[in-house]
Amino acid sequence: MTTFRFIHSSDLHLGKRFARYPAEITGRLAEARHAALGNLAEAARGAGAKHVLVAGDVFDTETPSPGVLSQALAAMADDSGIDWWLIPGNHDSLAAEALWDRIFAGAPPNVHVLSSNEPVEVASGVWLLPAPLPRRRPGIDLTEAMDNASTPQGALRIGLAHGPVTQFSEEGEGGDMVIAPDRAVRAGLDYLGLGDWHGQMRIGERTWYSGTPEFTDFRHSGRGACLSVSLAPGQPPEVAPVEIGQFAWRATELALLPGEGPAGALEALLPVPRSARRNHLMKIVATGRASLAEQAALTAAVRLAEPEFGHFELVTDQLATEFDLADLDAIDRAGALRVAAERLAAHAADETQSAKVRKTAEAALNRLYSYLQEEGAE
Amino acid sequence: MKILSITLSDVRRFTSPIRVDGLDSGVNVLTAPNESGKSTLFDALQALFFLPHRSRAKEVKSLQPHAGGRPTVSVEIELPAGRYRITKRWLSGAMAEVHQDSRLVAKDDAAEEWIETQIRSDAAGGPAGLLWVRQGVTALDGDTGRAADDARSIRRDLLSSVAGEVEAMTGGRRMDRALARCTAELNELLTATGRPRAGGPLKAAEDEAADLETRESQLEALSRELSSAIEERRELRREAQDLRDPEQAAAAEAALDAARAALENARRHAEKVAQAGEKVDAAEKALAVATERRSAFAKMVRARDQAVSQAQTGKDAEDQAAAHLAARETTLAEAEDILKAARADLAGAERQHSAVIAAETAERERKQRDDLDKKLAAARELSRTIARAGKEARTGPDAKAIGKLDQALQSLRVQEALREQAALRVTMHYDQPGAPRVRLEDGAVLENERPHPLPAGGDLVFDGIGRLCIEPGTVDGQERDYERALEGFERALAATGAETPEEARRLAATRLEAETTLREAQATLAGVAPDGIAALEAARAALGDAGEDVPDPSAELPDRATAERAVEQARGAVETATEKLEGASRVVNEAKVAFATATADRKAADTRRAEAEAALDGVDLAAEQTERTDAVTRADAALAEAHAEAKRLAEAAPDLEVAEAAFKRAQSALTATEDRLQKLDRRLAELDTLIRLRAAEGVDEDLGEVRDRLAEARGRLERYSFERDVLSLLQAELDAARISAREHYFEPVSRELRPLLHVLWPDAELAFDDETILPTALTRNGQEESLDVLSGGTREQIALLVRLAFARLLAKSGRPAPVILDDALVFTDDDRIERMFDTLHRQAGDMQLIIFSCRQRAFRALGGKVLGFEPAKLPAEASA
Repeated sequence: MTTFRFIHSSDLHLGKRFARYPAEITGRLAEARHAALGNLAEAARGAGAKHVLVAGDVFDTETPSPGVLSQALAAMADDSGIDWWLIPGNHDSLAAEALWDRIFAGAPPNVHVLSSNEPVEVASGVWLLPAPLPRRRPGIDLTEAMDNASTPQGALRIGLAHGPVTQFSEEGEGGDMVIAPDRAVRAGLDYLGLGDWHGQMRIGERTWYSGTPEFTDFRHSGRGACLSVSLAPGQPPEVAPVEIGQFAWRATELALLPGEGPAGALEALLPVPRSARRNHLMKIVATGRASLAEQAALTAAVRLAEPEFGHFELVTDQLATEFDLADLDAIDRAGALRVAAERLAAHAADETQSAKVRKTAEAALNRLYSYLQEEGAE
Repeated sequence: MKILSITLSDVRRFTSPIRVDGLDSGVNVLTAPNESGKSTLFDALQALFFLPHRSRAKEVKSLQPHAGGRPTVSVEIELPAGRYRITKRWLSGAMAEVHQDSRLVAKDDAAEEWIETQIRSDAAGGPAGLLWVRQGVTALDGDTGRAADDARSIRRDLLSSVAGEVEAMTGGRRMDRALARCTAELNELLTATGRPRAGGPLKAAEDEAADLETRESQLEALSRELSSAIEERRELRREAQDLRDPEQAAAAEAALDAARAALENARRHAEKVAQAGEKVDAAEKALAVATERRSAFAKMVRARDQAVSQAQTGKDAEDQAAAHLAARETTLAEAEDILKAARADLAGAERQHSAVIAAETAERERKQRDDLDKKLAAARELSRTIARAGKEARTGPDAKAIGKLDQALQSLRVQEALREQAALRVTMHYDQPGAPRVRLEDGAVLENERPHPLPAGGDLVFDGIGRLCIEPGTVDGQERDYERALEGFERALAATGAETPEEARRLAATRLEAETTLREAQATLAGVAPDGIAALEAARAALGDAGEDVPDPSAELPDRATAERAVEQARGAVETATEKLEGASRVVNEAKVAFATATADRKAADTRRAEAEAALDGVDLAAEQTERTDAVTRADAALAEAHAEAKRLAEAAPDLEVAEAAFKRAQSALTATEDRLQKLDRRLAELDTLIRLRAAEGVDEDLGEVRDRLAEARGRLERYSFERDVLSLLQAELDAARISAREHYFEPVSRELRPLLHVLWPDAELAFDDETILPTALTRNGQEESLDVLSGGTREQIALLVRLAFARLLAKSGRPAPVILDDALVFTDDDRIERMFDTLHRQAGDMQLIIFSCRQRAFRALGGKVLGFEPAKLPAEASA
């Protein structure tokens, strides 16, 4: 038997709308998800593979709109030399009968939906042992059936499943349906392709999460990818990540200390070249402490950088204000303004107050500072 | 800071340089008439300290003389560091310089900064320029026009300047702007009552979150509907598959066949039971017929016996009725005779009563004729009397003529008396009692000592001597009145037709008597013949004379009452007889009816007897009775046998209801399965449609999107809520700090102000408004009065005292500033102005008070350093 090559992917979440992001980026993100199908086909061709195995969550919902469904099937039909093997995941489980009925009715010949756990020979001597999710929360480890799944002697056994191997899950659920991490060994699998976790992860020599081809949020940094897998009998699999995502997501901490230049620290975190920032989604979580002036400088730096990115967020919840005499002097050296500023500073530093009260006082002081600074600048 | 001298050139009316010199600590007074340049001096000082030399503002241009020029102001001041001279020129060749002696300290912008440091507050607080009208209200306007006057009035309102400087202490305009911006931003979020503002971002975020929550609920419902539909469809498909299982269908058919067979067997047995029941019914009917026949025969025998007896009773009753009728008819004939006799008696009594009535009528008419004849005679006599008296009553004077006569006579008497009183009198006084007496013309002797009137004159005869002729003069008024009275009297007398008043009165008495007679005769005639004599004559003619049919008065007649009683008694007898006849007649009729009834009853009883006897004619009564009794016995035995058979069959019968229920159940199970399958098919079709539709709508995609948007909206709401909290806190802190600063600031001001106020009002206190920083009310004698209602004089006094208090405060802090008053006491009366002058001197101390006033006389008493305008030269730097 020759080497069997395939692309392992999962969690395409076609149809996801990204409504919590600004309207300027949502369309591009949705479009990138659709483009992932073409990117996977391109990756297959690049790897010399004729099969793409998708380990669940092809669609984001159980009822994708007709456009999303039809366009997805059309994209998969583009290259008839590539077979797509799909199993339902928790987002598009078999309970979504309407979805799968439509796919069964309209799928092109090279798209195969694996709706039962019966082994399927996908190529000569290569058997796929699917574990489709009958419903969103099956409540059991569906890969257990692979242990006793019979395949011809000497055949390559590839498991394809969707779910967590430990308590982690993209949805924070599934504690009662954890896939045994050693399933590949128990079931004599040459490879177990998993889906659900959007980041790429090696569980064992023969067990991998492919990750999503396009990330959906800031929980994972970088670009989406898939796995190019080569199997040969008696050999450990050769697994190679292939980065195919259009958008790079990055959530990073900007730890500040008084005296540090926040603008410079921020700039050091931003990707280069700047022209690439258009396809970046950045989330800067400022932490530590900064003076009022430094916070104003940070805000100004963010305002400057923000338009270059596909999306940019600055989170300052965890950034405490470091008040010094110069800040208060900048507000006023004496008089009522100074009194108000000192009271706000005292509230912000009062450990007996709730975090919300302190944060409110801090923001109020920051605002007063901004008013007077802006007035001075005018 | 202390001002030592002021020099102006090309400032309004001062086209040539003038100088006010010799200013010192304490009170400095410049009094001059209106339009002598005091206000110009004031405005020039303002400009020097507050208007940049490069300014071309209208305030600057207003300083320029009409003919043009370069307004130039130079002031010498004394500071702790020494003496300085500040010089500014505006417009063409604008410059600003500060010199110390001849040394240039600062020039142009540096000079402006130098000035700024002298008038602005220092770090320790307290503006050095406190007593200057603040820049915001230093509109240096023109010298003419009402609006300019008003503006100056405002500018000179010291309270305004106080308010402005206090604002500076409490954060100044930076505080204002920060607070205004904070408030403006907060107002975008909230209404004045603290609710989210419609159209604002907070409300929008709230609304959006609420809308999205609603939308999420709707989509969740749709999603649940879809999931439920899919689940239901799965269950229904499984059920349909089970129902269509062939083995289950065959078992159901077999069960139905068995139930059907059991039901048919039960029905057949039930028919036998029914037939046995019918036989029982027939036997019961036969027994009833036999029993009825036996009873009917016994009834016929009893009916015949009863008819015979009733026929005899009827005959007896008929006979009794006939006898009763005959007796009653006899009684009726007797009653008829009695009535006839009573009616004859009544006719006789009525005839006698009529005769009595006729006799009474003839007697009454006779009396009427006699009465009328007498009245006619009297009436005719009265008529004649009336004619006579009427003639006499029209003759002679009437009462009116007599009245006029009496009146004229009275007037005449009066005039005569007056005439006599006024008339010529002669009185003779004889010397001797026996002296010859003088006589009048008519021979009358003049008595001694007795006046004798001679109204018309006359002659006095002196016997032996001659005649003394006395003639009165011309007629006077009295005489004319007398003559008019006399004429009146004569006319009145003539009107009576008499010669004398006595005759007139006699004729009048005669006429009065005739009038009395006439009235009495007329009254009597009215009583005798109220309708006239003709009516009496007509009544008499109607009665005629007595006729021939007058009853014979000799005939014997009873009196009227007796005759009427006889008639009444006869009528009672007739009525009694009539009633008895009617009663006898009714009794006869009743007897006739009773007889007819008895006859009919008798005939009916005869008929029934004949019929009953005919029915049993030829029948053997005993044999018939026996036969019918035996038939009853036989029918009873047959009934008992039928009952026994029916009971046996009923006890052996299977339960038909059970069999029917079992059959129906088996049958309905099959039908229900078919119905259920039909329903399932219909429901599955519905679910297929629903699922197809919902799936095509992309409900879950929409739901995912809405949830994402909702999360974003909630985040936005949280951010705006935080923003609201931040702005609210900032606003509250700024407000609190400013109010606290005001209170802190006003406390020492009030302390300084109190003794000044007490110079005018012993227990006065001044209240300030937190918002406007202006004095708002004056409390005197426990009575609080708004500043607005106080007189102009009181208000200007308060304004001045407040300003002095601030000045004292500054002086105590080692930063004395000049107090400049431009006509600050315009409305103050003479008494108060003296006390104000005392106050000014008391406050002056080491302070500098510069006072401008047009009230030369009043301010002469102020004392202090007297200032005046003097021609001068500009400093060298300003002469270039």
